[in-house]
Amino acid sequence: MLLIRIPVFGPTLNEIFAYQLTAGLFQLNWDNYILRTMIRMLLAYGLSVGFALVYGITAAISRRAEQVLIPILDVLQSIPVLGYLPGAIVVFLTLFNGSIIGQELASVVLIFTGMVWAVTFGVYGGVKTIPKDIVEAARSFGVRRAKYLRDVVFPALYPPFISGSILAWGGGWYFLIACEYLSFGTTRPYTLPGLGFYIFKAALDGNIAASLFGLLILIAIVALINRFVWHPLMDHADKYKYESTALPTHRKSQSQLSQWLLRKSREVSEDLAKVVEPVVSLEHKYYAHSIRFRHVNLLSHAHIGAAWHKYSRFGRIIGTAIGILLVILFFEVLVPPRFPEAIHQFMLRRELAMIPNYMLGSVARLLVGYLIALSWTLVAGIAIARSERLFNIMLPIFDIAQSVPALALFPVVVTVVIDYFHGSEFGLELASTVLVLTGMQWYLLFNIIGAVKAIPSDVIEASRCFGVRGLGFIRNIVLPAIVPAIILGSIQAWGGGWNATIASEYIVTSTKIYQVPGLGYMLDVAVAKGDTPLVLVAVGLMAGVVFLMNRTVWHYSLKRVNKYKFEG
Amino acid sequence: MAASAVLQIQEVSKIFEAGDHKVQALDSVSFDVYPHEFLCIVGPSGCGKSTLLRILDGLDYATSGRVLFKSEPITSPSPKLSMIFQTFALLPWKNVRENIELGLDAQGVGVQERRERTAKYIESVGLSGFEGAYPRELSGGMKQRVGIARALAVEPEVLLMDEPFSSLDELTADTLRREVLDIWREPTKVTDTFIMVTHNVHEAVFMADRVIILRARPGKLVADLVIDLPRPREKYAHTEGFYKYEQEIISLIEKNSGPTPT
Repeated sequence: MLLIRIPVFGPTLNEIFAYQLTAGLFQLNWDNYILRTMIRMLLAYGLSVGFALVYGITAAISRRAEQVLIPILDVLQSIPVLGYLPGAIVVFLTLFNGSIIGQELASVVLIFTGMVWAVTFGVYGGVKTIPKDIVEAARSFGVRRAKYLRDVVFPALYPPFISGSILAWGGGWYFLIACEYLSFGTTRPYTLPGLGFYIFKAALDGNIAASLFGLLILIAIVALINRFVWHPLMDHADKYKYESTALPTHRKSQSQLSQWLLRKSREVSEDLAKVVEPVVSLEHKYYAHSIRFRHVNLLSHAHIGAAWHKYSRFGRIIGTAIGILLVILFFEVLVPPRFPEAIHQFMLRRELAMIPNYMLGSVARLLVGYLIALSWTLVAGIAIARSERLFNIMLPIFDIAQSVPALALFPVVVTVVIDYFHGSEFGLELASTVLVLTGMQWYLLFNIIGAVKAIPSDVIEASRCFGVRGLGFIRNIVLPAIVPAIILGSIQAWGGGWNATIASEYIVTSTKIYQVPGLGYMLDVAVAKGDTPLVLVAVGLMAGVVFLMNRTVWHYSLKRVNKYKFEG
Repeated sequence: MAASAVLQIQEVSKIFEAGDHKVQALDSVSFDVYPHEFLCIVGPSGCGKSTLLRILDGLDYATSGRVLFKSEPITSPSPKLSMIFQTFALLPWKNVRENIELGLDAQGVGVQERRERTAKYIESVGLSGFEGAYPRELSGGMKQRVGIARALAVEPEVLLMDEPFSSLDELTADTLRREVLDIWREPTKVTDTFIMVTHNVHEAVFMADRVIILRARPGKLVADLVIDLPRPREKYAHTEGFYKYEQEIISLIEKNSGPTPT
């Protein structure tokens, strides 16, 4: 029997509110945790939008710029975003003489790096996939420059821009929480007060109930913003879409939860129902759309993967070189001027001998997490996409679950799992793998659902007509149809997984340091010691592994399964 | 005569519900289809002709009324009827031979027989030498040949075709029309009742023994016309008789269309 000993589940609500940090959650001034967290998110999102529009549109419109900009993008996005954290913090603290502004800006920049790629890909893909006849029509009627941007480019990129923004916003939550945790969890003397900080601090102080309370508030905020900002925007953006074949049809149906909510609110009063109705009436559209949008975003990623081979060798080399240079430059600022000496000292480090071990540890953890994630999401994804009923019940649940930054669950998972195994090696590994899994699974699940939904209806009809049913249907139709989506989902999942290793291989609590050997651990320790060369090596290694895997395993498989794509 | 009908369509109505509003796609459509017949269903877009074809195949169901195949109601897809799709509906990850084997594999036909039958139909649609090609490597006409072979390979009694030539260029379409007619006229064939949905009036007169004309919104049967022209009809395509049938069908459609759609 699984009897989990949760240390502090006792305290009443009163005790939660009495918890010293609660003040920061509700006080009405600039120290309010929720407010500060939100400001960080908004600033980072604003920056991302600005960057994405300029970079994405330039890359998509100018053939020459594209040759260099896209390879740069490809290198930069290969780096696990959390790898930027130490650099960003040091740079900004130095620039602002260690003031709070520098620290805040560092976190904003980090969240920005977590958001910006999805929006940029959305913008770039949106412009690149404008149907050729529309581009030609615009040219033939002399629509150029500002008018071309206004009448053709902006409307076309609106839907993928919104879908990219939704992904970015979700990713932003993850990195926001990471900033607030990591800046706290290491031995550095500064903290970044906010909702994530509260959740982590409460857990470390042994007040699991208060931590869960903070988590609940976080989930509520995430869900409310999705419902009142992103859902309506998504609905609106849908009008700007070019009709495309092979997109999932959406049926108007509401989840059981919405129907129940509406019924209950009717029972209470008609006025309440009037408020609830427009909110839930958006929902049925939203879930069908959100799946569709994810699919569109996936396609623009696929587009970039395919486009890579179109660039001239010159463009690829220059672009990659500039990308790598930018990364080195970024970290170069950290390394003292005596760079050669630093390198000399560095070569003597004994940590270097451990690198193969660390690499193996991280990769093994990721592989286990990936296999578990792939198995459950395959079964669940196909079942959900094939059944209208399951789709309506499960999608709202998964939608909220995936928007909760996985990192926010870490304190609870760590405390519960490690405690259950009495801090044994196995418990540590298990906790770490679970955390990695949470960073990977949603990419796979939503990609799979989207791909199953996108199987053209004539293909489904043909298989029914010829009696292809049950397992034969899964084996002959569904699995081959979703292979490209699984590969693209895997690329994203491994990216997410690497980020998770940084947060999950080295966890500092007030009483103890939990650690498992891996690249994430190496990076964290290097950051904690302020050992910049080692940070650079750890980040470089991670980026190298991610980049190599993308260029070899994933792009190779993508090319192989090219024949699996339906012709549009 | 009615007893010998292969298919009996009895008072079939279909209502689609989209949220609050309902669309009546078919309104009480009835007719019989006889063995050896080549039947065309024509009508403007939105007349429910494709829906009707799907109901015949058991892919969709009638809101009221029923369809009998040899006096047995059709409730789900059966190997006795098979379909050729407008957009081909080929699986991109299977080559020509594997695509054609789809229905045979599902029926559990043994490997030996599957190979033989597939080879036979590959040859009969002129795809010899392309067994290992993938759909994306084929032209539209070749893809539809695969679609035809796939449908014939399960050796159905009734072959259903949903605008099979409308995604093809006219020259290719014309060749394929003749080939389909040749297959239909083959004396030893198992499949001898052909039902084709089209909006191409010339095509219907060229191919059909009988033309069912539907009107739109709601889809209703307006005429059941026997095309009494000798076959093969290539040499009649420019005669007065052929032209009169075309004009009759066009005027029936125009007379029964509602206010011009905006």
